[in-house]
Amino acid sequence: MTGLAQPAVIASSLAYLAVVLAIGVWAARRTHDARDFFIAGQGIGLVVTTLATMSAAFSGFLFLGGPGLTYRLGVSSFFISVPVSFTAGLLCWTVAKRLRLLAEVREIYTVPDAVLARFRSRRASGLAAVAVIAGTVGYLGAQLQALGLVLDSIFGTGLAAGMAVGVVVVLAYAVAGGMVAGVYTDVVQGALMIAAALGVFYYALESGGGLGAIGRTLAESSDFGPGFLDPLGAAPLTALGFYFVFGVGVLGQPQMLHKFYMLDDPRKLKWFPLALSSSQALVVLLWIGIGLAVPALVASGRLAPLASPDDAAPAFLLGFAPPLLAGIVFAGVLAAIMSTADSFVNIAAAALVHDLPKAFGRPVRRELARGRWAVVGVTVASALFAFLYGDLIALLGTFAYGTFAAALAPAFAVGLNWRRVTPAAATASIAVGLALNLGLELWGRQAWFPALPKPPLAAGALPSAVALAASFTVLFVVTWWTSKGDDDVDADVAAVMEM
Amino acid sequence: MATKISLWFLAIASPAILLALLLGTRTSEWAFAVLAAAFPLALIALGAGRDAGALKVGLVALLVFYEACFLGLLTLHGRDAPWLFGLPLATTLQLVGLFLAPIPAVALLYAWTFERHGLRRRDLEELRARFGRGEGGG
Repeated sequence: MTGLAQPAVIASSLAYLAVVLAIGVWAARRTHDARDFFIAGQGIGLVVTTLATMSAAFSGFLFLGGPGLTYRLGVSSFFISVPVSFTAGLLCWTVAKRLRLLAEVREIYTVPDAVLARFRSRRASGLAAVAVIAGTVGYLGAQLQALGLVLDSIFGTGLAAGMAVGVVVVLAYAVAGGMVAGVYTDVVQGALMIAAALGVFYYALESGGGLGAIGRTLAESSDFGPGFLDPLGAAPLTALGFYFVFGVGVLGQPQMLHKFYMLDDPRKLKWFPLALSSSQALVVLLWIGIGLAVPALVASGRLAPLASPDDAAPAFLLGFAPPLLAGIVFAGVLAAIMSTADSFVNIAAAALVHDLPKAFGRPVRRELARGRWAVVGVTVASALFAFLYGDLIALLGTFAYGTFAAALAPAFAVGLNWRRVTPAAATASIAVGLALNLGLELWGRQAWFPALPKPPLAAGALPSAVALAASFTVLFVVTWWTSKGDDDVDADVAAVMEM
Repeated sequence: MATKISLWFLAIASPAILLALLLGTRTSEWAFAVLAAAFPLALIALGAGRDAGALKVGLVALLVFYEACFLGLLTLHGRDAPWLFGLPLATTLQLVGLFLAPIPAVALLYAWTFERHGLRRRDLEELRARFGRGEGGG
């Protein structure tokens, strides 16, 4: 069944799209220069920053990919969102304050700008820009795949056609509005999703007869069984790897770090962890509710086994939630995807027209105009990559998240807090994290050389967890090898690091 | 002192986690769990920097709590354990212990200590007066 059979679903989704387009037009009028385009004019308050950060973190990956991954792996997949309990605090204690203060003393738009300011190394900054582009292609690809799935669920377009339509909509939206559009769509989306997640959680539990009945159904099912409810699942290293990558890797996510530059007053960070973690926890209820209810409905024969695990959320919303709520959730998911996609294309565009040219010592003139062309290239490349990757949304998202995590988290988390970290150590850490994550992922998935053995990792070990641990290791080893004890940091950056 | 301990921990834990992910024995799973639980807290202590001492009690309490939850999960893994709140004990430990319970604790600890390790108004004004935007280059 598609949403076409339910007019309320169509009406809510179309009403939402009208709101998004209105925000895009309004934002385009407020975007006058590169500062507006890339960091929303650095004039965003706590509530907007919180909802924008939450929306950037939670997107098609969480709403569609999450329940899909749970359908395949069981509750061990919840370890992707369990770190929400501390990631907002970790971000604030470790990097947020220093990034925001760097933007007080320097003209900083991007994550590689911060790497350049801290390490005075164009090589490290250029590599960070490459990591941002590589991760963005994966993450944006996951968003476009999710967008295609939603459009297919509502209008029955088919996945490929849905993705194609999504590319056009994202392009029109992002090219016009830049980061201002993304941030204000985040606000609408965030508020909508918090309300909708509570409703979905209630209906998910109700459809399965309550939490106890859902648990018993799953435990007694021959398809799912008690292992489905074991948090460490069939492969404990996978579950623990999710926790490690999504818990520590948050420190390397440009879509979140970037938001700190936009905050109008750095002292507003005081209540940021409370605001962010509580809103994230409420939204995660949607994943937990659908993630537990759908397998139970399949196990009890009330829902046919899913053709693809990624169909879990659409199947539940269209079959078991009230049409109005389903429409709101679909609209919210569309908003989540649009805002995250918008943030990502602008971050990647900044890496292409601002960071990489700077790393090569050839800054680009007319960044705003070139940035809009870069948006087109990045979006099309991401759609093609997602199509070729051909796996679950959550797995593509995990790969992209892992790319940012392994490449950037150690350099930021340790580099912004320990003055002895050298430019060589940061460069080596970014290079190893990036190369290892991409290399292990491609090696593990390649089918061109059947005789080639799989990567020498333990069963269930996530390539991104290996790359993240290796990147931290390299950072420490090279620091001890190259540091002469007298740190080499500019006075203003040193002052920021001391605070 | 807290900074030094954090750095030593992170420097040792990183290769140890890498090794655990390559070996994949039952011992590696336990080692990975114990180290992964402490890793973010060591980063918090590193980030708190100048006044991590003020966080000492809070961070130690969180460390004990997280480690206890993970050791509980490892102990219950693959076993027929009692149920709590409609789910197996291990699942409840994951969703309530690791997910919901620490949220207010971590967030309020941050807000409570913000004036000490976070950002004091006078520090911010001094930074703006000394460097302003653009004067440091970049």
